[in-house]
Amino acid sequence: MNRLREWWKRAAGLFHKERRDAELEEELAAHLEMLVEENVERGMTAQEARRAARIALGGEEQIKEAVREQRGLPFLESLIADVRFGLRMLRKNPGFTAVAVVTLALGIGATTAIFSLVDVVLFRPLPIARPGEVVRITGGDTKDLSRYGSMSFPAYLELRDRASAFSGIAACIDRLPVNFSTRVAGSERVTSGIVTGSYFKTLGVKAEIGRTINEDDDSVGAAPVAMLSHDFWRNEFSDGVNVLGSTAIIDGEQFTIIGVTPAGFGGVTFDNLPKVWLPASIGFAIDPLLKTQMPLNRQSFELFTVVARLKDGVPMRAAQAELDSVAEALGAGKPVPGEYGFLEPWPVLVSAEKQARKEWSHYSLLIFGIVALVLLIACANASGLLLAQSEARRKEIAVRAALGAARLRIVRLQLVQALMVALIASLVGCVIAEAGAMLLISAPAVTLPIPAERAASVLDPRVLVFAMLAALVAAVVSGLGPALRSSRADLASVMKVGVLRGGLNGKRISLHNFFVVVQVAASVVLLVGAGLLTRTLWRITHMPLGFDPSHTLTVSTDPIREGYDKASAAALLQPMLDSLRAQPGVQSAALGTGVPLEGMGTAVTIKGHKGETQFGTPIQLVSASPGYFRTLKIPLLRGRDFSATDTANSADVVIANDAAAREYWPGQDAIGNRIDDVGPNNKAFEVIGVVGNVTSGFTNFAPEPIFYIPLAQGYTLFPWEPDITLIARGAGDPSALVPSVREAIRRINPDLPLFQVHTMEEQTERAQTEQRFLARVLLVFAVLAIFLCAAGIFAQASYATAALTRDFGIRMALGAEPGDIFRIVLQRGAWLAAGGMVIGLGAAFGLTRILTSLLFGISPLDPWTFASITVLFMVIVLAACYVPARRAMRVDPMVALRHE
Amino acid sequence: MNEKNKGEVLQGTLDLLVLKTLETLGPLHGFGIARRLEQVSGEALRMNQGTLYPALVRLEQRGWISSSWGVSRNNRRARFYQLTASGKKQLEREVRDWEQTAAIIGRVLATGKGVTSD
Repeated sequence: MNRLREWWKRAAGLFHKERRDAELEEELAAHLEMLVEENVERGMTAQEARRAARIALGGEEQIKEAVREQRGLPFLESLIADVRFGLRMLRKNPGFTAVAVVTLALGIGATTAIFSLVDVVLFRPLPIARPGEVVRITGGDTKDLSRYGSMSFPAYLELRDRASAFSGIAACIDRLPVNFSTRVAGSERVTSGIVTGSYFKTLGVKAEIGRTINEDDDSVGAAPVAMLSHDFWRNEFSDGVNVLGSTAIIDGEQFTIIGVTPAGFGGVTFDNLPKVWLPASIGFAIDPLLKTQMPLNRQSFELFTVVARLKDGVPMRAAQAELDSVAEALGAGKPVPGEYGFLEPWPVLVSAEKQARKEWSHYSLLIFGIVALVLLIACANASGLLLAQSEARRKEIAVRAALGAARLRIVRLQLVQALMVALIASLVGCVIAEAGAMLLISAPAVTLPIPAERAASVLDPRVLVFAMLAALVAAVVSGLGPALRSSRADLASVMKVGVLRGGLNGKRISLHNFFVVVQVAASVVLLVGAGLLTRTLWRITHMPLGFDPSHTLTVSTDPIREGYDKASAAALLQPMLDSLRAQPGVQSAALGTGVPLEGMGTAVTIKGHKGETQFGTPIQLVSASPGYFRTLKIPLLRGRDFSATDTANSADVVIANDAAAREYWPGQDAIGNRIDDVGPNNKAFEVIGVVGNVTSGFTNFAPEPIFYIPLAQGYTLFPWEPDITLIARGAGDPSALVPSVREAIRRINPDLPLFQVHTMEEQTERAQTEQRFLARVLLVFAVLAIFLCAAGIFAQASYATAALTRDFGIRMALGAEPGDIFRIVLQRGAWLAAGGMVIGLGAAFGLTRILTSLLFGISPLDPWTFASITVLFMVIVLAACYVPARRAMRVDPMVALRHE
Repeated sequence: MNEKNKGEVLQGTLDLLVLKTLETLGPLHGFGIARRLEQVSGEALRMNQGTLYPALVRLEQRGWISSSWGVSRNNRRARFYQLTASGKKQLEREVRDWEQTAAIIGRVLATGKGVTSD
């Protein structure tokens, strides 16, 4: 109790210090006088009495200090004093402060920007209730090994009915394309999620406005209702419009909008943000594929994401055991009757969060690692600056130590200064981060592989806390070295104007050297990565694609979801093609169900070729109109192209690409052979021609085999591929063709939606999103790193040169030429850089392995890249050392010898 | 006693000695307290009188003594310290503890030679 009182009184003692000090002085003076009096009474002279009294009382300053320590909160007070002192120092050296702050701000800003991007996918929980309890039921070929993310609808129904370890279970398809229109604007293609009625309840998600889809909405005969995603609502509908209760037309049906999902919600994955949510029963009725009922009855159509919430207190292991026994009873691992040998998968539970993160972790961590390197370089730079600063004050520090400051206190003083620089830097860094993030998101050509809509703004508290932490780490990393080093100052040797100063400086310079080496090493690693990716990108963009994407526009439309059935939609094809060809500016045109970088996968039987799967040989199939190859400039190697005579009623023909011909009919002419069991009706197609290969522009594998069938024959073959892509080639800018294509479609039916309007060049770029983004990021950061590094080397060289001035003076007095001095400085710099480069290249050797999956055409140890980086760095280092070397060269020996 | 021990003993018992002094002599200034301590201990506890002052501040922070400005014998302005009610209680407590400790140690030391008892 009394201790508490003491501390309370101590806190109060922080105020009115001057008055109490004055009172103490008075008190001590009185005490002294009384002692003097007593001594005089004893018989001492006045002088002796005073002297004896002083000795008896003790040192006045010491008494005052002891009382001060008892009175206030000494720790806090000295900390405040340190902060005040640090601020004063920062103000007195604006140059140093500015450079240190900018350096650290760049590092902290970059790190914070990237953190705000990856926070959502790496660290935040899924935006659902108690995500620890939510699992996904995935499929595996054996127990416990999850291989397929999706399950089939019959499997879901069985699990729903028989598993009792869950308090809720639901299924959804989260990337179903639908045509959406409000009567205000035209029709557009959006991604929708169709969910069973239990979905939102199982995930514990409440609507932001309105209500969520529930079991009643999911029953047969219920009125069609839909929910919008938060972003879609914000973007599509102007503020103030009450969207609840309004009507939307989705795939030709009228839906009532009943609610909006919370911001940032996209189901149990991080990448997909469906714009519209529909109840499953209605979704099944309108989607062309699901309408056929086939996916709902067949075990082999694994389209559904199944989520479930574990009952309170039931661990995942127990639920898994229960599922296993249920699955066993249902015949897991055994072929499903009537489905051509398809094996029923084992249900395997995985945590929903972990599954969502898995896809992103590799990439995000990679980017994060890059940015951490940049921060390291910035810290090394700042560290060098702080070291130089503390050395400029070494006399003062030595005096402090001599006066009794504990080593810890001196270290704390330096750390406080470093911390203040770091905190200011982190504020500036946040501004940089916000600007950088906005720049990234608004960049048109770059599609971010990380969902930008989910990126947190820099003003988010988590991000701000991160920026603070980064500042703390930066302060400690930058400040500790210099602080420890400078606290070891020895008063005597510092105050001496000694002859042998080289030794003392040698030690300090070695810490500087360490920082330079660290910077060089980290920069080298970044540069190597940037170099490798840039070369990859160059190769990708200059690789022969097999077709010519220039001057070409692609636009997709979808008559089926507008209400046409397949037969009447098929009747539109020829008129649409004619209409397109008639448009001004269109030199050649074609239709297809896929452009060269997208195709449809299906399985067929090829005689003489053993099928890889239980269904036969998987192949890529594209339906193409006559003129397809001509428009895309894919060369016809042998045989003939499709023509107007290849209709739905004539013989079924197919054109193979060169890779397919070589793979399936090696050593013979593919023409004349057949592929069998194509499509649900098991038709046979005869090969009539061979065309050149096309590549996706990014793959380390050989070009894929692709088969083309005439659009007239293929469009009706697969009931669930409703999209038609129009391809038009012109003479100039392909975007100028957009009005022509629009008009061509309008002439057929003004209500047909247009979507995925891209130039062919944009299409090819989209396949390379990850590399492009990474290459850009790496390039930016590598340039930043070089800049910081060069600045650091320049500073260090300048400092070392100044410190060695006397040394140079002596050399020159002893006969050295200025050129020799110049050479010495350059040599020192070169050696340092060499050391850093060796370490950096060594690290790069090991680390570039991480990039293997993203590289194309070059190995992670590409000698060209490594060699050119080495040369580049040498040049940079020598350039950075140039000015200090010249300065050293110009030193006047007489001045230098007198220099301290 | 050598210098080192003296310091340690003082630190631990200074509070007790000051409180006792104030109880015995009533309100006193710093010089007076120091004088008294030196007298009573027979000059064995010779110390820097200045070390008294931080201790006085501590005792006042804990509420065991209070202080006010007054006039000394020689018409000099000085600060006087006096025992508070809770200080008196604390003194009683500490005296009791001291006496107990002394008794226990005394017993242990006495039974060091000769036959062990108990």
